[in-house]
Amino acid sequence: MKYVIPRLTLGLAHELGLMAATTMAFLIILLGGEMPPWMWLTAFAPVLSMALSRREVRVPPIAGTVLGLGAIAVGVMALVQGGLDAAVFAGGTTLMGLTVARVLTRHSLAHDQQALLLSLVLVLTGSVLNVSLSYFVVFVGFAIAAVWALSTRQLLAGAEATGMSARQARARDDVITPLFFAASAGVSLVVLLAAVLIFVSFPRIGFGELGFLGRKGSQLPPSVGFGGSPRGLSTSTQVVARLRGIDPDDFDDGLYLRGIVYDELTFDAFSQSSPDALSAPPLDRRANLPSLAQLPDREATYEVTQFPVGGSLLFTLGHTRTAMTLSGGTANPNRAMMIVGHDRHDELRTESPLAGAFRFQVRGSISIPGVVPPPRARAPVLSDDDRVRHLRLPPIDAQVEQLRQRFVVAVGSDDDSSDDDDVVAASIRNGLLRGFRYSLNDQVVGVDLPLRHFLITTRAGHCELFAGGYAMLLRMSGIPARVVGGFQGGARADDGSIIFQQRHAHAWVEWWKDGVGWIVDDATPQATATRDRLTGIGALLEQLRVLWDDRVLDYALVDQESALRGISRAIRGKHLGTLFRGGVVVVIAFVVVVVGWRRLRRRRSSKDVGDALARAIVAAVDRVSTTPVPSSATIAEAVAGRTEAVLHEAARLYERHRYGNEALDAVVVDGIIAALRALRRPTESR
Amino acid sequence: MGFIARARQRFQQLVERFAQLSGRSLRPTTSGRWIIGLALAVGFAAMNTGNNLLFFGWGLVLSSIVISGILSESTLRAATPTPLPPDELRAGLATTLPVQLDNTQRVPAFGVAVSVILRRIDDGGGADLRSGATFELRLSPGTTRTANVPLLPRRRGQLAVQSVRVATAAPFGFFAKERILDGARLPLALRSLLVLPERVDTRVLGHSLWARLGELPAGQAGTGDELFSLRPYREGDDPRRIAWKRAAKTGRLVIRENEATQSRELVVDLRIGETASVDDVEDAVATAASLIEDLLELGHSVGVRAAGLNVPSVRSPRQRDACLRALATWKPGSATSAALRSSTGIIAIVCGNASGEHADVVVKPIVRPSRSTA
Repeated sequence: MKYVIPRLTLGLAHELGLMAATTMAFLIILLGGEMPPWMWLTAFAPVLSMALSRREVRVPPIAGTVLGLGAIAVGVMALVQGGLDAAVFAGGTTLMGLTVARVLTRHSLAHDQQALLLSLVLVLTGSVLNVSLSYFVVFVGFAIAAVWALSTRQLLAGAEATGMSARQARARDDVITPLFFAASAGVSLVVLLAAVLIFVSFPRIGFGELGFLGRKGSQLPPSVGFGGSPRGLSTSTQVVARLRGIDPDDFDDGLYLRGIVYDELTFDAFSQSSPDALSAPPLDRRANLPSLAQLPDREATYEVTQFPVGGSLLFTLGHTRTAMTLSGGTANPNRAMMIVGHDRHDELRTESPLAGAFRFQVRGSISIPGVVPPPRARAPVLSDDDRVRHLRLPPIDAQVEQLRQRFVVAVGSDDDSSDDDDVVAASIRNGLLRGFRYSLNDQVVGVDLPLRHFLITTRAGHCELFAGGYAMLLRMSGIPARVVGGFQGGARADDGSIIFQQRHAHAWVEWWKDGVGWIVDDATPQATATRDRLTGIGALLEQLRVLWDDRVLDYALVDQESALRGISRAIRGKHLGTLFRGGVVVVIAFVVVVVGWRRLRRRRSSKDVGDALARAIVAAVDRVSTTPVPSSATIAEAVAGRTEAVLHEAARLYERHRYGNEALDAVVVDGIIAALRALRRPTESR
Repeated sequence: MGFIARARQRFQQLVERFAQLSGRSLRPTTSGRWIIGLALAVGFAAMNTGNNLLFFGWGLVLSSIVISGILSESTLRAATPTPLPPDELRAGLATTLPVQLDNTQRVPAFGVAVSVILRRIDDGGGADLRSGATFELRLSPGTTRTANVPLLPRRRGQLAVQSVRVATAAPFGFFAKERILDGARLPLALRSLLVLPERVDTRVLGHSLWARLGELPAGQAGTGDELFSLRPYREGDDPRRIAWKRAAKTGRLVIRENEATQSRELVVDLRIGETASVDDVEDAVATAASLIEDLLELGHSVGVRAAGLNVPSVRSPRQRDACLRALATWKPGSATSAALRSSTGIIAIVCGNASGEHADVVVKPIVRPSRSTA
């Protein structure tokens, strides 16, 4: 049985290439995570467009106009609401809308070209909106698809421009052959290699004037409702931070990567009181967090590579003596982000929202939940305002108060006004750990006062409910407390670094102890279960991400300088120097051989061309004349008496070459031979 | 013409001259202009922000421009054009110029368009005329294909082949690049093309002229109606032609021979008055050429005469070419027309205020189809 491989028509090949290229362009933006979820609908536009085109259904141009105007309106609104910081988001939204409009209403090959150009602009915009490894993967896909789409489009356009009907050109199935596949794949590869070469070799001169374009928004919400989707549901493996220099024992004890601090607490939500850090100046210009409890036996110096997911907020593992910028953070790898100090929420902040991976080094101690260190000599002080702020309570009903009293009594303390905060905190924590159950299923959606519902009715919930409940009960006991949103546990990679991903998101509590500072504490039952080890594909992906971050995103002028120095040193070295000189000799020898061979070939070809001309003349005379040319006749004799001008011209040229030693121009001779071949007897002429 | 227009024209001439010398011309398409603009903008943004991913995108744009140039050159090298002698060219008649394309390279050529640039020789260096283009989607290595370049010559006359151009915008359509084969490197026979006068419908006119001008006795035996001679019967003669009366008188079989007739020697005399417009002249030339073709086909001996032009009336298979080629390059002037034998029938094609005296027949020029549709 013979299998026939179906042939791909030029039209279908073009449609597939266009669909793939535009889809990649949308994906490159969408995978950045900056766009709202409904924007994922745009990714279906290319497939829809291809289906419409194959069925020859034409969307009226007015639909495109409406879509385009709508996209511009959305962009302008985003710009008005978000200001200059939202410029890239607004631009990206507008561009995506315009591309959707163009893709859906394309009626000609010129429209296809416009769609591809818009896709290219989207990809370039994606370089600001998506800095993850996914950018590179989709970028490569886009390059391959775009080469395919552009080259097939050009073939169709050329055919149509010279009179071939569009249908006829699209139906051609002799163009997309395996050779065409191989050629276009080769072209894609060469384009990508050339792009990499330019990327590596072009000097990184950043002036830093357009840095605002790279600002990223925060993925840490300033307000969290208890009735919403819990953090524990996240399965995203998007890396938020990478820590190096952490002792394995500290990792095993459980790490709490501290993020945003929420000081407002009600039975509905916890939130951060205004003003936020961006609109208010930092409370303290020193890059430290002195008010957090310091654990003397857990002192560490570690390095954090933080990705732009928290705006200007920096993640640390607890008490911070100093934090020092290493590199990155801005869109310009030649200029590092500055750490400006901590704000009134005890959050470490940078000068502006991070636009890229930011590396900084922290000297401080690593917090362990529930561990209260001994008082310090230079103890931090909580101001009256802050104390009031962290003790503020919503109206408390009797059932919640009874619960608090039951917890405190359960551990043997009958005095709820005890000033031994450690004991009270431990009693409440233990009450929650023993009497409550961790669950992602028992949510409190749609109920009034969800936190109260959790404490009194369900007694099962997720980390945010546990953190909110714990902080609420602490405040009711007179202990200043707040909820902290961040990441817990992490995953250990083969190189010893600790990776925190979105799936490690968690919420816990910090409560205040005079003379010690803010104590990290956690009442969520399964909090320590999220520590794991990166293996298999996860480990491989992490290695790729590290490579991407270190070798691509952070590639700067200093790397180019060191690479050049390395090359220079290698050339100066004796061994490589000899190799270099040898290479030069080989290149010169190669050039000499090539030039000599070409000259020889030209000389030989001149003789061959002369012979070919003579043969063509004789053959032409034989064809046009009724009597054959005698074998003894010269070329001049052969053409004598003939009226065809080209025969005489050819004979003259041959005689000059043969007897006048005149060089023959191959192009001229080719032309004459072709004209001679076209000669026919008068009766045979067209 | 303003300074800017002159400067632009001068610049275009320089570009064209450079293209002619280098054998290549390069022109960005609309999308090519966008790509260049995008490359500049992204380059500026990348250098300004130092954003590495922008450098990556910039690299993609720049490399696509460079690779596009290399691939288009490879395609052009793989398609060598060689013009072939074309069919007869008539003004106002769409035809094709055959150009042979050889791919002697090891790589295929995709999307090549072939066109020919011509210039009217008799216009004293007027503007170039570009033929239409024919397109080859794919030219495999080692193959030869004949591309038929469409051409619609508007006017009669001699056209010089300025260049043969193979163009491609492959692979990405950013730039249109041309390989220019200079006309001076073509065989002499192919360096110029002769466009014969436009064809007008003169068949009815030809038949009516034949009826009016009649025929002359040829002075030899033939198939005419008049008696020519009587001769003795020879074996094989048609018995129906035996002159029985004469045979009865003389007692010998005698055959009756009729005199053959021949068509008259005709001359189509072009008479152009001073008031005739250029189009009137072209109409007259087209009418003359078409009439000559029809009369020759009917078996007449036809020549053509005009101021500065004289193709004597002879019977020859080459007479059609001689007359049409002479008319193709003829220009009205003040030179006197050649004298004619008295037996020659004169068909005067009169336009403007020229007179029709001494002519056997006076014909008004027929309007050319291309003029009536213009």
